[in-house]
Formats: sequence, structure tokens, C-alpha cells
Amino acid sequence: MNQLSSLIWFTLKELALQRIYKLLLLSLIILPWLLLIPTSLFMLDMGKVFMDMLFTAQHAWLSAYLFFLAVPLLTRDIEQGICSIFLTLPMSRERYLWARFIGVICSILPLLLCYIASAALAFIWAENAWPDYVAAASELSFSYGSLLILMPYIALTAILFLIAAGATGSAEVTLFLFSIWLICWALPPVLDALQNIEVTNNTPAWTGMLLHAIHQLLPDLSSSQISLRLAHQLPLNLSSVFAYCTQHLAYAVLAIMAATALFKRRDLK
Amino acid sequence: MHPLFLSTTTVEQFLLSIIIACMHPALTINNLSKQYQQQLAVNDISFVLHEGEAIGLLGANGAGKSTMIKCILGLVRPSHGSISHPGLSPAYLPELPQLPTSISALALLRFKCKASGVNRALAEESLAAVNLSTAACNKPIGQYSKGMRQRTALALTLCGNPKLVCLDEPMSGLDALGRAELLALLKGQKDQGTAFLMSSHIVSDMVQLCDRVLIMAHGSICEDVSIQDHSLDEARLLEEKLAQWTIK
Repeated sequence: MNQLSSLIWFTLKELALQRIYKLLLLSLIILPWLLLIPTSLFMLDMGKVFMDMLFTAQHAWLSAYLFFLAVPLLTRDIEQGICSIFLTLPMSRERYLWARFIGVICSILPLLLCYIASAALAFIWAENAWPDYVAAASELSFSYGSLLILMPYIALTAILFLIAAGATGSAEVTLFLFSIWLICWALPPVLDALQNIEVTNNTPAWTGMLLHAIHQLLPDLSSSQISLRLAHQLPLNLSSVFAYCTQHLAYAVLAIMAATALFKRRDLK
Repeated sequence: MHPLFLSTTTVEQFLLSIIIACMHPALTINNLSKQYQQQLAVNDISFVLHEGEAIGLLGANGAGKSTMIKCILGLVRPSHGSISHPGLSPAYLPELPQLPTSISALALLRFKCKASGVNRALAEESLAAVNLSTAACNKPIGQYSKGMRQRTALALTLCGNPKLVCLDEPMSGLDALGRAELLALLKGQKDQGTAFLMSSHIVSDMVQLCDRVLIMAHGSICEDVSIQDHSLDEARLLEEKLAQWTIK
């Protein structure tokens, strides 16, 4: 347990001390206030527009975090042999992967908290500046949505670990992760289009089944329209939220278990 | 040479072999092999390394030295054979030490102390032992020179006084002074009972530290040479033997 917590803390420190992390943290504090500028250009539903923009920005920076901080950390570890420092402590490969994974997730939390805090303050300001166009307590809806949006990214981080456990270099990891990220974003609109009768009639049945199967296998990065519902002040079903969180956390656990099984069989540099 | 001198050396050798036999084995390797798809990197290797003993691995590039060390460390899975280092976790100094760049040497060593359950004060002691100044220890490793990185890696390896240390080409990239300092440090550790397994191309350095040298070629141990007086003559002899086995 001591080893696990030490490596989690070490990972958090290692990431947080990078210049890109500090830059991202600063950007996330400023970003909500900058987004108020384009929001002010809209005549109606400024609260909804602002929340939509904040959620979109969150998807963007969470993706950027994975590609620019988590991928290099993991590929450096495995490709350059930095992991031998940890594995020769000695530490089991399973414990190493879990600690690194939890460390990466924990390092997202300070960024998310700063983003939520800054956005909440911006919302409070907007509620006072444009009381007719920004609903009261929007900051609470946003905070709730922000935490829920993190869930599929936890699963995506676990996929990153699964890829890195078997891949041979950073280019391979980045390519595979990007492909999965792209498929995650591209599938929901395609599946929506398949709901159209005309499209369904002109598409072989197996195509739809295959796409649905792939969609089920990958994390739901669009967050099951949670952000859309929250932006439009629509209530969220608690059991659906619970199922959504459980699904993504279970997905992450399974992916890390698979990554461990793969990593244990691997020869390292 | 005087016959009496010869007999004294023989007695010393005999006594030394008895002393070594009485020591606990720090590492036992039995019939170790590693097969990479088409290539047999390590072929049926067996030897015992005792506490306080230093064994050198000598061989041309691709002889299987690094693969064997990685098998011992658990970084590479052996295809066949067994490795045992009862109660000891081998410390490792790789040929090209790679370290996390965003954190300081002190933070890295403190992490190791905490994760290994040893006193945190050992971190400062280990860094002082490799002559890294306090100011340098607090800077991110990314700002270090190559020499400083190697010193950090060495401090990381020796932190916590490990009883079994695997060194993979520890002298590569070091200048003459750095090599002398490193040898002195390793000899000090050896005197305290640490067992060393060291691979190196620099035979003269190896002869100064090691009690035995295993000459390797094509994944196998070709010859097990005992080092008697740690002299340059022995180094020359070893180089000749290595050349013979490499040509074969």
C-alpha cells in the first residue's frame, strides 16, 4: 500500500511539475472568463451557450491532457526504460500500472477543480450581469456535468494504458489512441443517422449491428448527451447517472486488468 | 618466480575459495536461457554470486550480458531456467540511465526511500556520496548535465544499501576521474558485503573491482576466470582471452 500511494503521489508530482501542466492550469483558470466574450455576442440563452462552450472546452482540454501529458509519461516509462526504476524497487507490474493510472487520474483533478471553480465564478458574474438570460444556480449544473464528463476520460485513460502495455513506441500509442478517440466521437452521429428510415433501408443490416457493437465496446465520450441536457436545464435521471458512472468505472477497471495481463508478459528495455 | 611465493598464492586461493563457499549466495542462476524468436540471447547459463563478491561479465556486443542482467531483474522473462536471490531485491544501474526529467534528484531518491520503506535521510546521504551538491539536488533532472544524471542514477541504485547490485556498463560515458570515483564507491560498498554483477567493456576497471570474470560469447559463458591480484597484467590477459572467444 505504501508503494502504491508513493508512486501515485510521485506520478502526480512528476506531471504537475511539467511546464505544460502549469500552462494548462493557468489556461483553465483564464478560459471561462475568455469564453464570456463570445457568449456576450449572443442575444438569447446566454447561459446555455456559455455552458455549452465550457463543456466543449472541457472535452478539448481533457483530450489534450491525454495526448500531451499522459501519453509521453507512459511511453517514456516503457520505451526508455524509466519504469525499471519502479519495477526494481521491487514493485509488481500490476501495482506499477495501477499506481501510474491512479496517479494520472489524480493529476487531472486539480485541473478540473480549478476549471470548475473559475467557471462557477464566471457563472455567478454572468448571472448578475445578464439576469434575464442566465438561469440561477447554473454553476451547480455545470459543476455536476463537469464531473460526469470526466468519467469517459477515465475509461479512455485506461484504454491508453492498455495500448501502451503492448505497443512498442510513442507513435504507435498516439496513433491507436487517436484512432479510438476519433471513432468514439464519430460513431454517435453515424448511429443517429442510422435511425433515419431512409438511411436504414439503404444500409445493410450487419453494418448497423457492427457499428452498434463497436459503440458498446468503446467509452461514450459524448457523455450520453449529459452536457446537452444540463445546458438546457433538463433533469437527469439519477439511476441513469449511476449506471453511466458505474459503466465507465467498470470499463476502466477491466481495461487496466487487461493491460496488466498484457504488461506482465512483456519483455522490457 | 620463487616456488615459495607460488605456494603462498595457492594457499591464499584455497582459503579464499573456502571463505567464498561459506558465504551465503546472493544470487543463484541455474540453466538460464532466453530465446527471442529466432535468436538465442542467453544460452544455459549457471553460476552463483556470493555476498560481498563481485562478478564481471565480459563479452562483445550481443554476447547476452544485458539480457542476462535484465532476466535477473525481472525486466525480461527467461525462456528457461531459474533465478533466485533469496530475500534480496537487486538494484540496477542501466547502461544509459533514463530518469524522470521534471522532478529533482532529491525528490526521486526520497520517493525510492519511501517506497522501499527505508529512512528518508538515506536520500541525502546517497546524493552526498556521489558528490551531488545540495543546490543541484533540488533542480529538475532535466537541467542536469550527462555526468550529473549518471551520478543521480548511481545514487538511486546505491540508495538504501542494497545487498545485490547489477551494473550494466556503469563506466560508459564517464571520464577517467569519474571512473576512479565510481570504482572507489563500488569498492566501499563491496567491502560492506554488497554483491555486484557488472558488465563492462573496460577490462581494466572490471579487474579492479571483480573477484571473478565470466567471459561470454553467443549467449554462453565460455570461461570463468578468477582475479588474483587485480593487476593490469590480468586485464591484458583477459582482453586476450576475450579476443580469442570473440573470434571463435
